[in-house]
Amino acid sequence: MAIELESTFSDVKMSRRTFAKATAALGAVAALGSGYASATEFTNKLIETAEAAPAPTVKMVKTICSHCAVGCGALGRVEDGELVRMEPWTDHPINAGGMCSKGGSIAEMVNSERRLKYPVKKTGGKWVRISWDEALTEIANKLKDVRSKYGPDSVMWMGSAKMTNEECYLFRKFAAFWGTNNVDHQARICHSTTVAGLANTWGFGAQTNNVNDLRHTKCFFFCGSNAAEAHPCSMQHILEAKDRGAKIVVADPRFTRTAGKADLFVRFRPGTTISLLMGICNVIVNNNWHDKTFINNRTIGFEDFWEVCKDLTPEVVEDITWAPADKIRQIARILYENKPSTVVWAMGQTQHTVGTNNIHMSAILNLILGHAAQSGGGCQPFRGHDNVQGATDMCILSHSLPSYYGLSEKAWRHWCGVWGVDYDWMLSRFENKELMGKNGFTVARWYEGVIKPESEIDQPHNLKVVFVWGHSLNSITEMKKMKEAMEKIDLIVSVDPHSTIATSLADRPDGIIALPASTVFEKEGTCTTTGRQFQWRFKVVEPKYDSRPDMEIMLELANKLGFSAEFTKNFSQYPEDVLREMNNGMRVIGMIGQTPERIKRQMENSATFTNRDTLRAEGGPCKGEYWGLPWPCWTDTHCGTPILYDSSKPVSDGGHDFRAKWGTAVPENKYNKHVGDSLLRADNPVAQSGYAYDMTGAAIDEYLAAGNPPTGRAKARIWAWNLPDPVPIPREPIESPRPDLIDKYPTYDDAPKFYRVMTEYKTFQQARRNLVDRYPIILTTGRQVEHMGGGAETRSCPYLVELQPEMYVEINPALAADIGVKHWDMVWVETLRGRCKVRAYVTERVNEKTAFMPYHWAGIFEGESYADRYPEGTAEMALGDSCNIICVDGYDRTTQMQETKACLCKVYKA
Amino acid sequence: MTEIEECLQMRENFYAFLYRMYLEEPPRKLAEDLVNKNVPIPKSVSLNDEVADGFDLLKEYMNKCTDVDDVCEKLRDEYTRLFLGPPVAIIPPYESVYGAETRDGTPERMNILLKVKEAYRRAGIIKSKEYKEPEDHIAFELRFMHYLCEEALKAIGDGARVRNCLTLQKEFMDEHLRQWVPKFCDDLYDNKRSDFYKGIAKIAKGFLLLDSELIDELLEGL
Amino acid sequence: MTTYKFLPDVDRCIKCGGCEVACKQTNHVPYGMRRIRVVTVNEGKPGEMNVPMTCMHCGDAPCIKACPREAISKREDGIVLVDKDKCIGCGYCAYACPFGAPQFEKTGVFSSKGKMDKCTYCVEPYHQKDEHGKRITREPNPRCAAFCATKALLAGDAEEISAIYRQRAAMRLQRGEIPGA
Repeated sequence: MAIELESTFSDVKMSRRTFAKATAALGAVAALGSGYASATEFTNKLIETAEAAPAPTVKMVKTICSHCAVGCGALGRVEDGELVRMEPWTDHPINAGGMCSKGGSIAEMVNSERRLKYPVKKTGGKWVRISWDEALTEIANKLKDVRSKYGPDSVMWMGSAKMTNEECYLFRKFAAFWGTNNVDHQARICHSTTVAGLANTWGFGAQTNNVNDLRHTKCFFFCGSNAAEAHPCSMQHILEAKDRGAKIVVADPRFTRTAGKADLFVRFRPGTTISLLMGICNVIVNNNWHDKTFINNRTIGFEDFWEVCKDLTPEVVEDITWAPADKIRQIARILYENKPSTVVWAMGQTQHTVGTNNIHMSAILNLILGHAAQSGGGCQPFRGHDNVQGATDMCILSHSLPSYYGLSEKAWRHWCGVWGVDYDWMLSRFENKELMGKNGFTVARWYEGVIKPESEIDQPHNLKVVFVWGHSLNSITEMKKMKEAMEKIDLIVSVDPHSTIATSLADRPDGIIALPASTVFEKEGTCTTTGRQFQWRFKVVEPKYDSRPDMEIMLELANKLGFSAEFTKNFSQYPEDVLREMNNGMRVIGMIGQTPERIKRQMENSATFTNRDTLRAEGGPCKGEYWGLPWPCWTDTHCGTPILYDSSKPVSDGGHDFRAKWGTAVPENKYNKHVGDSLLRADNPVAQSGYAYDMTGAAIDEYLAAGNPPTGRAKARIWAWNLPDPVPIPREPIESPRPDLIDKYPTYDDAPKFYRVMTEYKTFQQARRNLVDRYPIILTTGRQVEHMGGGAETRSCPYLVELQPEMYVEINPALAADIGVKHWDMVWVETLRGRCKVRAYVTERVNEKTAFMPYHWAGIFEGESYADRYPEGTAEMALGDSCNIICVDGYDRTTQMQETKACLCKVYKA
Repeated sequence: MTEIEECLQMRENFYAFLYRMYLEEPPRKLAEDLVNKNVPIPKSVSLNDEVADGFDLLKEYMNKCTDVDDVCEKLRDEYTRLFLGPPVAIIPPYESVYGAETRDGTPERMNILLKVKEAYRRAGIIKSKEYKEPEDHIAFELRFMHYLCEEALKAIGDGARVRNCLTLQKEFMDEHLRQWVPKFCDDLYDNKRSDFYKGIAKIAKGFLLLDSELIDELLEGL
Repeated sequence: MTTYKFLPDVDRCIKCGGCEVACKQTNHVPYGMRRIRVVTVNEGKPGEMNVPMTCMHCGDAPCIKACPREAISKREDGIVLVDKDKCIGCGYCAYACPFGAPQFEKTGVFSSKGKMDKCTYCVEPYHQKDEHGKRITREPNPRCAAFCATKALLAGDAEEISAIYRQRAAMRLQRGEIPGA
């Protein structure tokens, strides 16, 4: 049939029967070209017909923000399967819909085109896409290879505070099944000293209250916390408390945004927290403001403490800390007159060589005032990442099994029982029994396991493979050494939604595999807030691109390594069965009653938690429960324990007491002090039950029936014989601007074989005694509200980059004038480790002796961009020099936490 | 085969070729054909400058291909660096990136993605779970055009159904492909890291412009 | 009759940026345009104050009076909106506004300024019209206030939000503070 054609084209090039011409011209090449379509390696099917395609829906999915540990609720608006934006979850009990800039950017980050899309491998100097199976097979083969040659300790498992609890738990379990204790995560460099400091004082190392309870506080003492920038939504409750009459005192080297809300701000020298708090305590005790009844009944060691404190008068302390004596007196008075007071801290206290001591000191301050263990009082270490409390509880830590059981044989037998595997089989997974019970490398110093000779590390061989699993590397100090380690090690495996500097920091042609992990919005599971509260995230969208949830990756890897059957013995429904196994095994912290059903039910019924002061549902399906069933939650009908150690309520109502962790009486100790003295609460002594190892729950039931917490009723230890310093004493940071104080308050002796590696203290401090002559400025680091952690996610987000586009160093106008620099000029900040080239932010936030740098930045190394190891076109992503290249190589004496808050530097024009 | 059918077949083939070029790293067979000079460069493509230029570039590229392994690796590397990363694709091949007025902001990008999905839905298809990129990836959009060509050919004899396929193609071309692919191809051509893909960029851009007119002509003719 | 207003409680604002991002992601505001910005005075010193600055939807709006094209109008419920079809980008409204609310793109058809854009109380996104050319109108539910981390930015009926602020002011007076100082 002939077809009449008309031409109606305005384009002069076209004419009638163009289609015939085109067909003739292009027919051959088209025919050849179409043949390629079936030759694919990664994809076969693109399209499916959808006769009954469901009409596009709009739904709101309840989830929890993935940034900080406040645990704000958010609604993801999902249209036709895509997350289009966030909406406020107005009846969420913690934040009532409020979110900071990071939370508001969640949709941006989930949909980012900068996400890692496919597994890729670096080979021959170039990146090549590989399939998941190929990637995991290659990784498994390499693991088996190094295992046979060097043993299981040749692998470092750096895990994540940004996975769900179930994934965190499986990660720790995985490392155990693999056969090593070289497993650790961000808590090490974040709040490990908090856990050590608080657990060694009164039994558990977590925030004692929760952010809502702060509404009852009458006096906030922020010492080392900039909550306005690090935990913005917590300020909703803190400022509410302020409106209700609470006082805010901020002690900080910087006039932070939190200080902007304070009634009293006191500037003090980084690294002198103990002296400052001692000075305050000195005033309190000299004025008889301390609560003698509380001290006598519920603490031990006050006299030992006073031995040290009595000499640290405000005048002495002023000389050490810069804080004027009259201000110290003022702080003491305000704390005393406004009961209950609480101490709030974050990295400002934790990240020091004396971090554990700092925290112990904060607890002591709270104890001697008698403001501990109550609503509105207690200690508030605000945790960092969205699930670092959870990851810590799961003990992705090289010194413990989940729930803080430690690494003793008893602990291992407990967990083997929970996992349903034979203890001897588990032992066989390890190199030997000694290594099974020995602390592994930490994320703070894992690289030493690569670059130090084998004779200098406390395991048979060097590390050969490192997993950077949801961990940023520019939040760890000594980046030069880390770069060296990453160039020397056999294989780097990065598992992350972004490619991060794990893929680009090392200048090497091969030996890197990057696996795209899904974000928390593309899977389900629980997370734990800083207030020990459990929340369930529902799945917002399906995993984007070819990303996979961390759990899937672990399960597949376990399969390829041959222990899948043992690993997944108790699991058929994921993630719920994983949580059930956790409920069964994690008894030390009472993580028993937070079952999947109860937590999901709370999330669905958030509207019934209307009392934001108590967080207790007064009616509805969750009646009587506290939001998040905070641990300890002793049984699956228990309401949770919102305030630790608070004995004003019955245990069945959420009451608690100090934990009788060390028995009923002080044992023999190297100081030969207090031996035989009672460790139990004087007015109501109760020993700890055997609840932690009793799998039947009978011990718990018995104690609850008697109205006692299964952890007993004990005295808090102001004097803790097992800590390096039983009572905190002032010790100068490794790099101090006061040689005379270095002599008077020196640091520790060197620590050989400390988490498998030699850690210097005295040697460094002595060698650098007069460093201040060359490097006169104190460098301290911290956060910005717009960015989070290592910054790979937030610096790829246009909204956040618009708000905070460049890396800088804060310097005082006087210092700026001294070095001839105006605001926003480029300067070098130099320390013994190296130097960073950044903008100068001239501000009065810092005094003329201090400089401040935010740590979220990477992509530039000592002024040189390594974006050339990335393809070009990434200039829009905000890059910056990393301050952790230059921070000091000092570590906390108990946990090996890095000292990023105090070192010496010089600043000069670039 | 009538002229109409021949044209539809050519278009189907060409779309298959184009979508495959963007779908994944180029196949080994392409490297072999380039080395053996098997790719038939069209002689008179005076219809459209872009297409002609594109094939010229392809011919130039073909002339310097001597070793199959070498070409295979070069093609794979080029594709990876341009479209995969890490950490990012230099030329992100997504309508939601190039079709947005400003290169920021999820909301606008999401709007575009949702409209694309709706267009597919109207044609009775959804993305397979096996395909891991989002629906606005250039490969998927070209595959959609390919699919409609296939359907049109299957429906030959039924004028209404053929017209329907062509109409859907016209809508998609006007509302989507031509809104962004020309810009994308220009960027791809201009980028100093593209080599093989310079030719493909011009061919793709040119073919879309050409095909717009072809669709109109075919519709007129039915 | 509802009168919609904003009331920034500066005693509570901590400059977290939540309002800025909430506005952007809800209203599709492009890079460089800020319908709401938090401005800090006395940064780094005692007396530091953060002020979320958005369009205040003034009762007697100077921008309306200044506009030569009568492109700006005020709804009965108080919300002030600009008609981008009428706007010629002269910038007079920017001179007139005491809060710096009018924003201009760097490029545009009529002048180097482009069409004026500003806070619409979340009633209109940046692109005022949908794909059919119809002007978009949504419920007045300002996301900046809904997302405010500390509930500093109050939005809603003038009576209601004044009541909330009065309550807070009373508490602060009791504590010996001058609210908003």
